[in-house]
Amino acid sequence: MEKSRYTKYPATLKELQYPYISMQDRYLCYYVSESFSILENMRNQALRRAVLETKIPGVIEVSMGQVAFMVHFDPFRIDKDDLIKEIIAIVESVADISQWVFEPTITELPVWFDDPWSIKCYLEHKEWHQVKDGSISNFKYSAQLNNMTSEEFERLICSRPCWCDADGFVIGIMGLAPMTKKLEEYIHLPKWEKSRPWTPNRGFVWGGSHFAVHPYVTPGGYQLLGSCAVPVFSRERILEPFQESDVLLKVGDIVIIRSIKEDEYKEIRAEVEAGKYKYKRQKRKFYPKDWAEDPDGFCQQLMEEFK
Amino acid sequence: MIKVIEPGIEALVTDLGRFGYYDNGLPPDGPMDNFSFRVGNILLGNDENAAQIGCIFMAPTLEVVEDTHVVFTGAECDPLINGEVVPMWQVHPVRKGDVISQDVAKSGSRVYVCFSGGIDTPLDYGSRSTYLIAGVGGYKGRALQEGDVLKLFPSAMHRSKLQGRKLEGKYIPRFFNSYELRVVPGGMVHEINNFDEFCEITWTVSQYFGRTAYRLFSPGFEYSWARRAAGIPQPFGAGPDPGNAVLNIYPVGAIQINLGNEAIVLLQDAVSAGGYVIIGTIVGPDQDIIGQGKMGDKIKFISVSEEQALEAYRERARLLSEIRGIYLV
Repeated sequence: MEKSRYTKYPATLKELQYPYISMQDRYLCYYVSESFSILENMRNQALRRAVLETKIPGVIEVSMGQVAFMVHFDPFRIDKDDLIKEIIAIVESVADISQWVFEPTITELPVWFDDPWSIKCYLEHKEWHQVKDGSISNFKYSAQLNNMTSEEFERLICSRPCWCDADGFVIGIMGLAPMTKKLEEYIHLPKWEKSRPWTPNRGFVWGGSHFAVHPYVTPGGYQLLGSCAVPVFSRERILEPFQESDVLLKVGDIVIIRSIKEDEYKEIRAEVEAGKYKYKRQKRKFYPKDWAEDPDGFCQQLMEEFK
Repeated sequence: MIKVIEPGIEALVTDLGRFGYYDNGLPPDGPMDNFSFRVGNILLGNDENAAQIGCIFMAPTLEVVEDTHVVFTGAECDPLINGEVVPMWQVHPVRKGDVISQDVAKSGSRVYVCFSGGIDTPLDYGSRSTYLIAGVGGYKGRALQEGDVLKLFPSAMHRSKLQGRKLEGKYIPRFFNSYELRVVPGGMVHEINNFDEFCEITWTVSQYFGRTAYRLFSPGFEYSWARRAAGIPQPFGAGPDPGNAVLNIYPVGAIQINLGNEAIVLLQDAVSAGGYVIIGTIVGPDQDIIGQGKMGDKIKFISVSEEQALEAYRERARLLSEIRGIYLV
């Protein structure tokens, strides 16, 4: 990759070529790609991890978005030009997809779609939603936008493993997207017209091309589709996956959504409350190359193996 | 020990902040006015990272349970000890049973009540700072409430040496309702064609200002969206509106913009990522200025180079080093 491809500010939109680096006084932002795709996100994760593992003196932290990562550095410990050189060298060393290996944990998340809490939250703030009269839940509205019945929409969400593509925003939340390569297969939903002041704890929400489970009550603007029965964030750390961390999911993990109904939701909640719930989880190696060559076959096999 | 009699407004235990967890969505959560906070600790002979109480406009009313020393820094206000006004930026001995309080701030917004030794709460993700949204750090992850009892670390300095220590007048920061903030353009500034105009106009702090962000508005101003003007479609995954971006990374101090023609300045409790365009970052020392800001303040942005930004940090470092020099004992 030639250095000249890294556009320096100020640049106009037309001059920009990706990847590019935006340098500010304490932050180096590396934009991998303009558009989102799972593949570019995997590249972003591989690059960011390589930067982290290099442990460059003067680098404080390396955070990430979906197709960009950001190096927070101390400009008095490392010269910015040296940092740029170092980052470019690292990026070039991991440019090839065949080198990427992830070790995801696959986790099942049981979700009650079109649940009463999502509906209640929507009705409280319906004037900020596209549907202002409260006549249809976010879930049914979203199914209709995709020309599907509720059952078909639910099946679609549960049909593919989903990739943990970006954490951050607030601690414990994770952005996820179904592991497809075809743009037309992404489920797209508009965000609310205006963001609402709160979202129910464990709310399963979808906006743009990806979804998330709210780790606690936070503001939000994604469509409220359901309620996840199990926590994704725990400061009490009672359940097994939280022994090491407050956070259930890490970037590069894989999630499988399972649709449940009210009875099972209540059973699982009781187990969670009693500290006895056992998450269905598996650890495995994942080579993005395998997935990129045959996404459908790969996903199908992964779902089979997880059963 | 000190006991909370009345909670004040959003009184939070804070140190210089937590670093290394921003990638997980944990921001620094440090003091909104880093300079005033540090000076409080310097005057008390504390480590500059010692935890203290930071609040907005109004400090809590506190009862002293064990003899200690206190200093008020930050927003201009009248601190009270047993109902009598005492000067800010000066160390005061307080005895068991004394009551410490403060009249509402006159200029600026963030007040620091600092104690000899600093507040002893557990480290959480490497820091004692409070992150309210997730209940991390501080005193039980929340703002102080009536009846809370805070432990203090032993004083780092003998009381005879603390007696009478005060900051020279020339070092005391002053806070105004109108100020300039230096900004290094970057991020996705190419998404707008009128960054120059952005810097020429006056912005006003709206009613939405807090530790996460200050939302600014400027009636009549509109962003000139480069993508729309050039007929280039939105990137896949960004969302339909100009100003929407594929989940983007936000530096602390970043200016985030949106179709509503707002400018949102992210501060100490910033969200680390989000779906909007950012156009630059406010230089660190100037984040203290807006950190002391409040609704109705007028702001102008000045575009500076990275090198000019670094000079601002050097200047701040020189100033602090001078102050430290005075109080080295």
